[in-house]
Amino acid sequence: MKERIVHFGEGQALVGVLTTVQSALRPELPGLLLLNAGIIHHIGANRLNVKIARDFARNGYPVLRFDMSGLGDSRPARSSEGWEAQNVRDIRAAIDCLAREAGCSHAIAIGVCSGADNIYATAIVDDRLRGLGLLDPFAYPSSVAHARYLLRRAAEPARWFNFARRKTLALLGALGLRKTEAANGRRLPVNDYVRTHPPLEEYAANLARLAGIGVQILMIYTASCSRWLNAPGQVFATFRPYGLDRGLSVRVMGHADHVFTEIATQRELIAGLLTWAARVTPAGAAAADP
Amino acid sequence: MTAFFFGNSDRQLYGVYHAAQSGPGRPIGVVLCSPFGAEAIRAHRILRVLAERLARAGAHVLRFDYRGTGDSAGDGSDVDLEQWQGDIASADAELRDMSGVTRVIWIGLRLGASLAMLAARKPPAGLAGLVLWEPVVRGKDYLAELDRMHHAFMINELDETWERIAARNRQRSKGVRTLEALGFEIGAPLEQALEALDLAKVEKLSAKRVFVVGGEQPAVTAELMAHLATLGAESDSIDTAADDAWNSEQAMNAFVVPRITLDAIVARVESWR
Repeated sequence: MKERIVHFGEGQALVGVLTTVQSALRPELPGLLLLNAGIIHHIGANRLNVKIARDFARNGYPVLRFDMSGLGDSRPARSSEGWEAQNVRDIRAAIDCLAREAGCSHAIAIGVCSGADNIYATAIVDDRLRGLGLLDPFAYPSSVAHARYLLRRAAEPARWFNFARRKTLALLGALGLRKTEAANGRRLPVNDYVRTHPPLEEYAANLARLAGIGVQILMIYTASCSRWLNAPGQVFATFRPYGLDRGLSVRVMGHADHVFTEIATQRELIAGLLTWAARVTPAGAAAADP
Repeated sequence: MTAFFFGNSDRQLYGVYHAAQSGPGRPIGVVLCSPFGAEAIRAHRILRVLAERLARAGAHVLRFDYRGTGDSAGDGSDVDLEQWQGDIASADAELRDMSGVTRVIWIGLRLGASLAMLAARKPPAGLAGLVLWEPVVRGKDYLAELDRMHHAFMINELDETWERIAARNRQRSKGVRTLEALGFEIGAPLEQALEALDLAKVEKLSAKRVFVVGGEQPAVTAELMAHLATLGAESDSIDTAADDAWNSEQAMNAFVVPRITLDAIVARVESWR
């Protein structure tokens, strides 16, 4: 396995690690891009990007994990564009880099949360992205799913116990009888990342158009959105009216947290990503059978 | 800022070099020793900011990933504290080679501080000082803390009891025991080494100057300070308990930098030049 540093983008400001296994390389395979999750640097939450990169490289893919402008080890952008437009420019520069350094005619991108959002924004303007691995992408809730969530909870006494335990601990903290993050100064005066969902009609129409030209789309939802989204059928039902069905794969991992913390869950995720990635083909080629 | 790989090609280490920008006084190098696991991810931006500030103040700085961590070769299953101490020595040699400095300061954060102190039992010539920032003094306590934080995080994120989570993992692992903490595997060699880690029992220290940046356990810091005195090190400490918010799950999604602490460390490096 070979890993080397690459610099690319405007002023060579972006830094990434290109992973290849020369003996396993297959020219027909796409390159793989791994994106930042939030502001976590390019190794990914729980070093997940490194693990994905090495497993994909062993299976013949050239893989680039990199930092967007101003994150990790990349320098800030000089342009005055907004960060959303800059993110798209950065990802397109990374696709250029994969083409230049590894000869890839097309690419897959995998990203968690904001990474998934950035992949979507890039895919609608760059048709070299032929596979979108969206981990906890935009979720459009349904009342049926919420009812299902409540019913499942009601049927599991352990969850009630857990709920009561958390409330009790919170109450003890509020009464000053238990040390909390707020009490020891670790509660920070910052807001969590707030995602602005595009309107469902717009999101679904764009994905349907991409699926129509053969782009493979994978959506994996974790426990972080189980309150409102908890069954693959729910996602298909949401998107089918917009013509999005073929080319869409959906998985709900209710036993996984938002950043795939447990080692066994990481392995399960990577195995699933490898299986899905085999479906991705260049523009104009027929998709392989799942 | 230059990212590069160094060391043997089959177990190369990832490093980022920040060349000195200016500054009067004798040339000096600084090796930044990262924490482990989730703390390393939380600290990444902070160490980049510290490196940039030190470089602006005239120091040549190298931050790097130990083997089996970050972008460096290997995985977490077969690493231990001895190897990581060797990686600090390799980083030190690389920095001297790149920059030409002959005097180097090691700054370690959390487990990185512990590793720096252990590695300083047999340091290269010209180790100009050690900065131990919220050091992990006792490995047993650290393992227990990691375990507690892992349980609390998973229970909160999955909204399940620990018994249920553990049962599922036993089933998935098919009986193979894997110790893990907040997304990172702790292999048997590392677990054993952490069990045995106790900075208050280190018998030798070649660094003559030690600056301890204390965390939220003043009693542990005081014990370490007393031990450093018995080792003959010229040492002092500051309390930064009010500035330790970087080490929280919430800080993972915020550009939090402990400014007071960084001010103190940069000032200390300048005074040791």
